[in-house]
Amino acid sequence: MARPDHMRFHAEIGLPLEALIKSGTAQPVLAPRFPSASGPISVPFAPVAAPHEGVEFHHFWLRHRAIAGDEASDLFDLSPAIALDHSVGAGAPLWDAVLKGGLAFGLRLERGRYAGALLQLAQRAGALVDAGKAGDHAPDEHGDLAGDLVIECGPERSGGGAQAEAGAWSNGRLTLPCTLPCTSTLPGAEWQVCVNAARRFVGLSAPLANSANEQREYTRLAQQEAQRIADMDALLQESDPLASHTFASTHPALARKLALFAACGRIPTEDFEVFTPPEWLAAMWGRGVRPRRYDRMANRMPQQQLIEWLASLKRQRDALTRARETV
Amino acid sequence: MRGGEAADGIDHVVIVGGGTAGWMTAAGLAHMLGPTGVKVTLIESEAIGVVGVGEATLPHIKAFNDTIGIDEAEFMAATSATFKLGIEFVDWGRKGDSYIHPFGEFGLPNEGVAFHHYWRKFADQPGTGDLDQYSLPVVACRKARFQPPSEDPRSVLSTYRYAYQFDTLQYAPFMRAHAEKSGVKRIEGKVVDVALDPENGRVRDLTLENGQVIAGDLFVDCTGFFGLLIERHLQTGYDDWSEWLPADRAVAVPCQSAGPLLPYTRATAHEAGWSWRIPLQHRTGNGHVYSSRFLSDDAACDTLLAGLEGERLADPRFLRFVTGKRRKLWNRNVVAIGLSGGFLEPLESTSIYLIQEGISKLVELFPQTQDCAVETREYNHWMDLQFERIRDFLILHYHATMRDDSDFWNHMRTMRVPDTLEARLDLFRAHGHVSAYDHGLFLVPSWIAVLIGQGVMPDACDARVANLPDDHVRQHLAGLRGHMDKAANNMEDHAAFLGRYAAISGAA
Repeated sequence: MARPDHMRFHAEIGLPLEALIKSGTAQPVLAPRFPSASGPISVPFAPVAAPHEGVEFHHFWLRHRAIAGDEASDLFDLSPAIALDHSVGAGAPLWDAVLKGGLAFGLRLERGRYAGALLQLAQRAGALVDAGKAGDHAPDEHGDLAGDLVIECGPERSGGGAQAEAGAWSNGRLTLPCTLPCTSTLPGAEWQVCVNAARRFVGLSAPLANSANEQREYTRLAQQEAQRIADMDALLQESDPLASHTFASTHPALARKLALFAACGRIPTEDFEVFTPPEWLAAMWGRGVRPRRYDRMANRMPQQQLIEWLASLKRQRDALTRARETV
Repeated sequence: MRGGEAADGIDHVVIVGGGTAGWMTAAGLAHMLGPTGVKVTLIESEAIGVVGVGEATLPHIKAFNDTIGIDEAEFMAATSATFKLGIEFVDWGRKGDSYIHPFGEFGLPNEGVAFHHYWRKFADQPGTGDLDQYSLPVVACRKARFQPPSEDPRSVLSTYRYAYQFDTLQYAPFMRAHAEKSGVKRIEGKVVDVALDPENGRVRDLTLENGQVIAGDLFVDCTGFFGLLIERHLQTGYDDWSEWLPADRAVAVPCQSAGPLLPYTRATAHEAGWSWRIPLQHRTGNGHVYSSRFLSDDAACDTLLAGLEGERLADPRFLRFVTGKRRKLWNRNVVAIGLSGGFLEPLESTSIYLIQEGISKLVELFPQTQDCAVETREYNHWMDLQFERIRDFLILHYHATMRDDSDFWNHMRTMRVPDTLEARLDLFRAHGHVSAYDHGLFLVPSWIAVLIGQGVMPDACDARVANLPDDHVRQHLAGLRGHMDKAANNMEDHAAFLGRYAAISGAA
């Protein structure tokens, strides 16, 4: 699966979305389901609604629920991304609805076709492609493959030689963070770390023989990114995230997110986040973490205006649900 | 779910100290939190002077003013403000050098590669010119021109932002009027006693000279360097950064305006520090920041007075400070905003920005009750990051120098700097790449401005540009330089624009 960053990446490499749609390579995804210790969680890419005067929507929703006492409703009942994702089936009608909807969306990719499209682009750009496995090549006396730089892209690592830590670039070897186990369980993470690695490597472009500083910087950034992904994985896999006593030392950024969200509903971000605040919100919410209070600034909106806002979101959601029924 | 009705709720904020920080905080909190039921009281004493922090600002102030509903024209007229497109640094890399750190971009990225790599490819060759010449705000500064930026991202006029240079002694009263209109209650008086709750150590109330007792839920300390609440009573502690930034004194004096009205602030390096020159509508602000370890007060004052461009309008005023920050900017129920929270020399006009950040973060995290340890920790985490990243950027100005003409510069050039800064320098020196972060005031163009401006040249440019045909790159450079020059020529003279702006404001 590709995350919403696919729009930018495919534009960078010259792979139009239209081509992916026409060839049946991609289907839109608006709210992938993340596996968790408490069952799958829908994590929409788009927020339930846009912030108002700098205050995120969930604070208004919490305020309304506190006043209305409507304990049965759920914040994500109003999510247009979830409604659409679960509604229109596949093919042209879904594409039509997604492209008109203006919501952030990812792509569910048919792996073989997508790899084929990328391969063609790479060859057109001058890449030499060898269909053999890494193991078919004879390693040198140090166990390394011939070449100035070896990039390890998957869990099936080439034999021999000192393997770099996941996400590191050193000693002529660059290992993508997608070799971390959790990138294969979190939808879109594997694709995103590959894209980020390519961008980071190109962005730090330097002659390989003289790139010690660039290698250090690459590794620093990649490992921060890997930590952010590991944070999400830990949030999803821990049986009771809020009760975890180890997060403060093993996942300090996650501990910070959990503590602040539970206290006041704010989601702090670190440098080089992979997942967006709406995704963190959905994941924490899905794991049962609830803020003890909403942002006081949400009280600035008159009650009637808030009621009308929520009603319009509900109408929007209902329209998407009706669309499902007519397809 | 709490919405602000708890028994230990926080509904009354007491700000101690007027001045820039106090009145900005009062106006910000009253505007943003007043409608939610928060009451704001400010205590100040006319008998206590104000430091009048920072006459020069960063573009972020416009967003703050807009948020709290300040009309730009009214603000500019009331504070004798001028527009500001950047800061000129004179004699920093070497004596005789000058560069401008603009509020904007250098060139335009091409094929995903930052512009400075293209420039670097031919930087050593005649005819390429300084990097400055490829930045519209810099070219406009050099020509003393100004035009508000365009909102059209396709226009070169969208590649910059602007800030203001204003008279802080006029700014505080202006903000006071605005704050009082938003419901802030001002109490004249000097705080003579601070009562702490014996159970939890929180500030409970303040007693004024006339015996009046002011209770509050949350207190904001805007008492300047003195830190009446945060330090004198809560003994929070201070992280001293003078190891890296040894300037500890300043002397300031205003003078009459002379020469063209420039849309930028100037920072000129001297024997053991630097002097500022801030052009306002009605006068010029001047000051000399220096290290008392390396220079006497008299010598610093002489240097300042010798450099005045117009007639002196007041006696020189001395300030002492220790660069650094409070260990906790929010401690118990006291938040330190402004100089009470920390001090970083005004080399990059960051003082008012840090006040704004303090206010914005406080509003974001504003607690409902005294049970707010998480919010407090988050506030301190965020502000620490802001202070530390600005600190590193300031150190860069002193450290990345070739000056060896005084003990001060020899010390600064050769001192050990924070590891984070050392790594940045190494990375840039190699192939011109800038280590980025998402959270922090100074982004990549700022680092490029200062690094290249002070003579830190990458050994080589990005490999993608190195492999491009020379003619292609030369053409790109020449086209851009001409484009910037033409765009700047089409802007209005800064003084003329200001005159016209004032007329529009008067008519309104």
